[in-house]
Amino acid sequence: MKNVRKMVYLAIIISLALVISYFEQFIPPLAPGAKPGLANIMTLVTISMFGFKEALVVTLIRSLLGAVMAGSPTGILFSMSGGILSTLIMSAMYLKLRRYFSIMGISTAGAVFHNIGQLMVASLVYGTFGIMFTYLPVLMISAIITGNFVGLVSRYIINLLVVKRALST
Amino acid sequence: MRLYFKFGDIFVYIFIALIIVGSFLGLSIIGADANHLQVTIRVGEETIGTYGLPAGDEEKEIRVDSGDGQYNIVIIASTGTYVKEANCRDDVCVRWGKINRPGQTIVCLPHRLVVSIIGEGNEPAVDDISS
Repeated sequence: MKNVRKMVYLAIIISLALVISYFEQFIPPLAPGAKPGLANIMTLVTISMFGFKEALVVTLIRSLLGAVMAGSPTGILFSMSGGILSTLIMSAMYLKLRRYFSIMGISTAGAVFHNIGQLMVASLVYGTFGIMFTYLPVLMISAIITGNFVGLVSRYIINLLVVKRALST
Repeated sequence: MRLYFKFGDIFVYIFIALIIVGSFLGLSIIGADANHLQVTIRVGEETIGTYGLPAGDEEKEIRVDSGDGQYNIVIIASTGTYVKEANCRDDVCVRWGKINRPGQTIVCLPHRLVVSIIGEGNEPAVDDISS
């Protein structure tokens, strides 16, 4: 019973994340390639609801389906590497160091590591680290802005879920 | 009302600042290599030579003889490559001006001379990574 419930929750979260990342492309980016990363909200919610393993599953399936939906198989490498790294970092910070970091801080760190992971793989694929260094500063600035926004939204959602769970039991 | 930010967030921002500084440092270290350009000179199908850009204000002067007393004098400098002098009939190559970006070429049709700039390692466009 518990497992079915979890599965349904994860399915809903993945589809929400996919829809969010689909509509995200209509938001004009701050800099070329600097996406808001709003689907990160769903990763954070998963971490707080279930934990690291489930968040990793959500991230992997999301980038797989997202690449299929967008029709760009090469993008999957970048989005997956960034997603795995940022999920790792955010889980570690949320599950172990929550006392020291706010959700905004955690989500900003997640955005930062998402960009780092993506650019590292891109540098390896294209064989030059020049793109990484030229591109990182711009993405860092955008990560601060979007990371705080994502963190704020996640904070409200997580608080709401905690209240609901407390009421239902 | 609870404070939204917590103490540890400072470390996230310190980390971001370090990355920004670090990438500027890294860029200045590898920057010279990343923008490494070369100049190739061809006459017809034959490649006369490939030359790196000289450092600083130095200029490299290359005289290209393409037979029958035809010649072009190509100057290669870090600020730009140009044809200084030629005895072709239209002097288009001399009036071409300086080229300094990868992909640009100077052509002297009467002497079948092609001077082109090539970048070492094709840097992908920004949008290639981010999609």
